[in-house]
Amino acid sequence: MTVIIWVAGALAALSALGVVFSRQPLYSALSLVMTIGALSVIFLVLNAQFLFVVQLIVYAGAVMVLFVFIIALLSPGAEDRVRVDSRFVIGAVVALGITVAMVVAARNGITFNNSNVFRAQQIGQASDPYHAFSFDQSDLGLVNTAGNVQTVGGQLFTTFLLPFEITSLLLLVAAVGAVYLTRRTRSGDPPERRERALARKPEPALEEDRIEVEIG
Amino acid sequence: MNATNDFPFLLGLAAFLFSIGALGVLIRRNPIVVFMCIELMLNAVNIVFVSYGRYLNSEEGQVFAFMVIVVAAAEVVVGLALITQVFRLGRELDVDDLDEMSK
Amino acid sequence: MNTTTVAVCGSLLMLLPLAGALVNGLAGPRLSRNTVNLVGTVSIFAAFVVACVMLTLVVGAPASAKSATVSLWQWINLGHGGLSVGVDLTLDPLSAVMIMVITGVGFLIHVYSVGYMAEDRGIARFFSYMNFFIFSMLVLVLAADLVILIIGWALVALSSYLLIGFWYERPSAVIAARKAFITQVIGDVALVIAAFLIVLKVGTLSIPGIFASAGSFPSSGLLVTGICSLLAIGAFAKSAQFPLHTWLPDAMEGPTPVSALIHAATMVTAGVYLIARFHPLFDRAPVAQGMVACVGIGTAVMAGVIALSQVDIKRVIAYSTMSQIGLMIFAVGIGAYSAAMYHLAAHAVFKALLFMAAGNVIHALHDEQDIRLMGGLAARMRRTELCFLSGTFALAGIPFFAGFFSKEGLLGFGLTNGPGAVPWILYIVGLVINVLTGLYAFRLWATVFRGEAQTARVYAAHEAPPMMLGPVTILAVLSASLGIVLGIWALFLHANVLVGVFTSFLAPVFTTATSGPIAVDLGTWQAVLAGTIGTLASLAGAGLAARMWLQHRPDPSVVLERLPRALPQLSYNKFYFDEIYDALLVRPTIALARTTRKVIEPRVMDGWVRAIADACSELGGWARDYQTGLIRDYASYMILAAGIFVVATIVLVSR
Repeated sequence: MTVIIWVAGALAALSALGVVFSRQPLYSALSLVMTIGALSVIFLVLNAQFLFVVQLIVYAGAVMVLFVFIIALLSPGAEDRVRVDSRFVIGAVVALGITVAMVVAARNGITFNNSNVFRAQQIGQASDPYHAFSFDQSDLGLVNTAGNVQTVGGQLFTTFLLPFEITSLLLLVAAVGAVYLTRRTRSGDPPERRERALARKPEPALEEDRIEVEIG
Repeated sequence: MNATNDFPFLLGLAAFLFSIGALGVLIRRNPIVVFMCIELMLNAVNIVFVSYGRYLNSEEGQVFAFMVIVVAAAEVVVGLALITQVFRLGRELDVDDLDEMSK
Repeated sequence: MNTTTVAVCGSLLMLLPLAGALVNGLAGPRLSRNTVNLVGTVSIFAAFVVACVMLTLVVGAPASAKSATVSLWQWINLGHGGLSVGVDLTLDPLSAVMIMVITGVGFLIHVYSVGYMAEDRGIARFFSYMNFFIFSMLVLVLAADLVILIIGWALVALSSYLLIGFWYERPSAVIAARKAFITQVIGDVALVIAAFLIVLKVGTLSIPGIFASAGSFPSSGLLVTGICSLLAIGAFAKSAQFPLHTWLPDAMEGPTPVSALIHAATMVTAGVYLIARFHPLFDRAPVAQGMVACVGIGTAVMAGVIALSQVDIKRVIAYSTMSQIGLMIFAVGIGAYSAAMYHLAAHAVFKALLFMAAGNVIHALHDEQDIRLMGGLAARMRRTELCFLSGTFALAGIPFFAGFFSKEGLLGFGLTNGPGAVPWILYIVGLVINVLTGLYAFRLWATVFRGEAQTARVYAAHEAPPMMLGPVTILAVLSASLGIVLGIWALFLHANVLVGVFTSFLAPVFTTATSGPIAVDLGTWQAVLAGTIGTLASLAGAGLAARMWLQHRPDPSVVLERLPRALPQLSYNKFYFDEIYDALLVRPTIALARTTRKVIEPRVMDGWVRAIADACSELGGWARDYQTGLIRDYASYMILAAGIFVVATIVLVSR
């Protein structure tokens, strides 16, 4: 298991570098897909099966596809050289710092809390998604043996119901917003169009009024 | 499986991905690539959530990671819509060009 | 003496001139000229009457209770162990003499100035200032607390500034007024420092209190010598003694009545009064006394020499004042308090007379003051000439005139009671002063009134109006008769004629355990001999002057040529003191002021203020450079901050 994590991790790291440093945006997008895939493997190994699937379907399957479409639409061949300037230096220094600090801290055990004190919810075997779960806390490994989808789903629909509903609303809003933002206007912006419409002279209602009798 | 061995590695990986994503935000000029780097950062955060969830024996981590994915999807939609509009207005796809905030 | 009576009289005495000053000062422009004149003179006359009453109080008091101190009200009271200042008055023979002189001569001068200033438009302001001056002077001499005395001292300086600069449209007058004031402030500072030292040692500033603890000062100690020296410096500033004498001749810019009041009768005598009043302290500091005596007699000689060559009528009289005050200072320096006060009173009379007579001349010649352009006025201003002559005789110490008794008494004391081998030297210097006095006094008379008329203006001169002539005549009679009157009075009282009424009158004030005789005992043969020789010296000087300037045998200009060039130059240029002070003090101060204005003010003071403002705008400029509008820059700031935050948290948590 550890090996898988290490391999997937390395793959993710390399792809991340590819995302950042590729010249073509399309290559960046593809690298990101690779990263997402590697990460989803890690999720699987960490016994987050639901997230593994969600990540692949939603993230890699929808979001990244959207990215690729937009890139193809807007700037298929755009090149973007990376210059080494002050921002690069800042970013590199910060990257190094954070990474090193995190690794050192993790190794020294400050982030791993052995005393399991903050667990508020009971976890364990899920049976009825509409009721609060009362898992046996004596066996702390139960969460990792109970079905992951049931567990996550149960929490989503009970404890985290409000955030769940709000995020669905958010998706709706985002969809509507995207449609609105990207609609094509015939000429100019909406305010312009409205003014032009108001300034237009009223056309005669019926064609017949305009026919002059020309006989003969 | 003994989880304590992998934990530092995972955290380090997350930190690495996050900071590389940040670096990418700083140095890339194409806004779409910048967006992708932001996605990278979000993924790194997801790793942290899930790792902690695993090692503290809680599924809250996964739930939260789920929320992050949803919000990231929504954000990408809106963001790319904006970028599309920028493109349609005939502006350059270059974050340095979009500097109206400097006045 | 009944303290209530003293309190009432004292308050009345001070308030009457103050009331006159306020009325004329505030309502003057609305009153008619006659009312202004009336208010100005009547207030001083009323004060004079009250002063006479107070004199009878003192005379009538039993010998053991000649001095009365009353407290009008408690001004500052800092409680136990702290300073306590009351508005206290002291009435004793010394202050009685002073208030008589001030109000008596002052009244006559006020009457005189009605006539002298008859055509001046600022008459209300003039009388207001004059009354205020009298008020300040009275506060000074009646004060029984050093703080009140200093207040009076400062008010006198202020009044003198206002009066000298009365014709303020004249730049020279303004400069002279400022010079007088600044010089006197130096004296004020010395006086205040002396007050600090006194209160440090004794804990009180009440004059009876100070004298009661005078014994606690170690005799000839550094502290008491320091205090007395500072008091002496204050006295020198007021009395125009070397080295603070330069303001007196310039003060002649004021109207003649001002010169008469301030520089003859009252203000310049304040220094003499101060030293006389503080005699218990001075008696314990022989070094300071010696310094005072030297300064006094040195100034007397110097002023006499300068007076010989001056050509402005008022300046000659001014230097004469300086010389006579020098003699008085010398007298209090050697302990001849009675002689000094007697000379003070006599000098007030005849010097005011001389000034006012000179004012008559100036008025008659329409503001001409150069004696080289006078001459031959005797025929046209007979009465003034006689009065002037009376004053001149008194000044020169001609027998039986007022100055004679006082001066010879003074010099005789120097001879009989002076320290060690010094008496002979002092006496010889005194003789020289007598000769000089005779010389310049009679030179003045001869040049102004006798001889050929030098300009046509003289022919048009006429005698002074009665308002101006009256006071002059009264003073002339007084200066001729003062000595005789006091002598007869002494006989009347069966007092010791030889000792003198003044002496016996003032004796209670000056009799303390450590003081010796305060006046020469005229019974001894040394005194008689000293007096005779002194008189002969004065007469010699007078005679010589008469010969040189009346009969031109030898002609003064011939003598002048024979003298080495330096002497008349030094004399005419007042020994270059003004120039020395200008170079040493005035120019550096002005240079410092100019430097401060041109260099320090714009560069340093404005500089650092502007530097702060510039720093702020610089800071703003730098901050502005960060607002590039580029998202990448903003993002980099955020990332940087986030990175620092993360690392710091990890580092701190891991400790």
